Amino acid sequence: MALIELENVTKVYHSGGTAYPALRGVSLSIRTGEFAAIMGASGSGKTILLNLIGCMDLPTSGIYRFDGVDMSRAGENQLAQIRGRRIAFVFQNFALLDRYTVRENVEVPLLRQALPRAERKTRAMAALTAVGIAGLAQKRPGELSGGQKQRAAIARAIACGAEVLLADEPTGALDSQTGKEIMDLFARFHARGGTVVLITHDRQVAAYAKRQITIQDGRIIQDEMV
Amino acid sequence: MNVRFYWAVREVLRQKRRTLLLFCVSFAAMLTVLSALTNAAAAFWQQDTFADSLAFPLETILHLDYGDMEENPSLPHTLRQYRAYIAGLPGVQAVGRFDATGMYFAELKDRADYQAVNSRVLAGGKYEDYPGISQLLSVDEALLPFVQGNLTEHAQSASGALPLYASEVFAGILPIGTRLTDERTGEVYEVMEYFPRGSRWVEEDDLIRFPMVSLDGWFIAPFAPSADGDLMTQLSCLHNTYVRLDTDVDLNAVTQAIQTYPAQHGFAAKAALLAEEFHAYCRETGVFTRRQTALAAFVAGMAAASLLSVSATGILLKRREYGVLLACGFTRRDLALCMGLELLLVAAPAALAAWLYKLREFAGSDDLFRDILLAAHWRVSLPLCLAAALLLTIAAAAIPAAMILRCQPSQLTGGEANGAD
Repeated sequence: MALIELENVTKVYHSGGTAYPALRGVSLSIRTGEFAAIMGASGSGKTILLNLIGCMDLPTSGIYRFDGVDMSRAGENQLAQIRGRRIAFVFQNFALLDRYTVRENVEVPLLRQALPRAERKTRAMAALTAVGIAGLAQKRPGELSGGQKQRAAIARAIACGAEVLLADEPTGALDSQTGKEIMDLFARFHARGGTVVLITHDRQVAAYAKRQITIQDGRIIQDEMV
Repeated sequence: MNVRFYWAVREVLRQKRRTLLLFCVSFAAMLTVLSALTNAAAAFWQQDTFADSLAFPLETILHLDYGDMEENPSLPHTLRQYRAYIAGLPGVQAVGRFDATGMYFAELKDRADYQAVNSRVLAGGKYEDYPGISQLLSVDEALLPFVQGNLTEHAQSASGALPLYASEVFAGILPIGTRLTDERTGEVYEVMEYFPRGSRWVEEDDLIRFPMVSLDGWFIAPFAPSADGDLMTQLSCLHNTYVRLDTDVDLNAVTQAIQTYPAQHGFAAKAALLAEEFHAYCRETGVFTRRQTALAAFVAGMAAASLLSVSATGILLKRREYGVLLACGFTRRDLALCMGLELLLVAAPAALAAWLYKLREFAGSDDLFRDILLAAHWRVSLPLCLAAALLLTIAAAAIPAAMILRCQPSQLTGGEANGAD
């Protein structure tokens, strides 16, 4: 059974009385353990598609099912639970909270899981160790390099035990060597059975994925296994 | 710990400058709000205290208001005749006066034990530097029910001395039967009994507007016969003369008679029901209270606007942060509650700090209204100040929270996403 399933999904934005269709009848199915890359030109609708998959937005029409549950009918709490426990985001610009240490940033999704402080700390440190920056746990994001920030963001994503990792241009702000190291982390997550969906313009990054989906003007125009 | 509360506490502690700014704005606003609220409440408190303090219905007491009186040797005689005339009118039960003075009893003024006790009584008052003085309330029997001290009539002493009632404060040093002599007039008094601690008396300058005065450390006695001929005593009683009426009295007739007699004898006097004076005070209080309440509401509104602008700015700056929290599993409702709690965690302590500051100020003052202000501050201002802090918080958090509640999580993380694609 598909873990992520979209049926004829549309997303329309309105501005000044004009409707702007961002997604036009997207149907897509992603199974557990897949590694998919979504590609497309700027403005093609790929980030909006990723937001819908990550329960960060709702479709205008169509059906989105996550693990068989229709997300269009899910309540706020259910959507939040999926965001905080089963799906994790990695943003291009890291999205770390500047006032908090790296470890505290990694603990943020664990707060909502009502875990005891000691367990939060243990899980955060394990995640930081897994991405190789345990020694930076007490640093603030402002003291880290771009690669270290993205590692922290990935640590935050895996600490919550998510089974799906959504990444929007995760290497877009990094040099090629650091980008490769970050992609290796995604590959390791995938190798352990995790599902990865990422957006990229970069063919080399897309080459890590086993499936490449191309989107143009809000429609999927190509979907191929590589 | 609840995750929203935990997050709100962390935010308050991490944003020290913003927290300090919010605290200062809230503290300054609450100081003004509390002053206005306490003043307004104190006026009502005084009103209630007075209404509860008299043992007569206000509609059965007339207050004599003399015009300018010529100070001549015949004045005591004139006033005595006038009072006798009023007392003889149909429907009049009695005419009474009172006068509170500081005087010396020859036997007490140099006694060390008396001075020791009296010093404690007089501390902080106008007689603080005169420990040998005695505070005497001379009062006609007709007005004894004005006193809250279980006295209803003046007793007769076996010795023929004037009866004297001493505050229980002096029970250890002035046995019943002690005879004391007024150093100025030579009148002799005899201690008949003690009136209990906590007894109170209306303030002599304005019994309606001023709070009651504690009688701890005082003496109470009838006017001495010599006082009827004493010009100073008569002048002192001019504005403290009251007429007790029957409930079925013809008020117009009595009032007219009371006002006609002076015109025929070369002086002026009016009579007004205490109830009318009290209603006039209530009207004044109403105006004052409305003004103070409007001031409090205005300042609270300004404070809410300040908090709103600070919180709205903070929330706009933290828009991306809220998006991250939503992506990490928080709900929009969590965020709205966090915003409210963040403000409440600053506004409530600021309100309490302002309340404590004012409490200390009132407690340390020697204001005549100190006790009333303190009572109003405790019983009215404290709950109102906490409610105001809550309302301020709700008002200041509501709009920013509504802004967040309207957004989808992706709209908040928009800055972090790869454009709008």
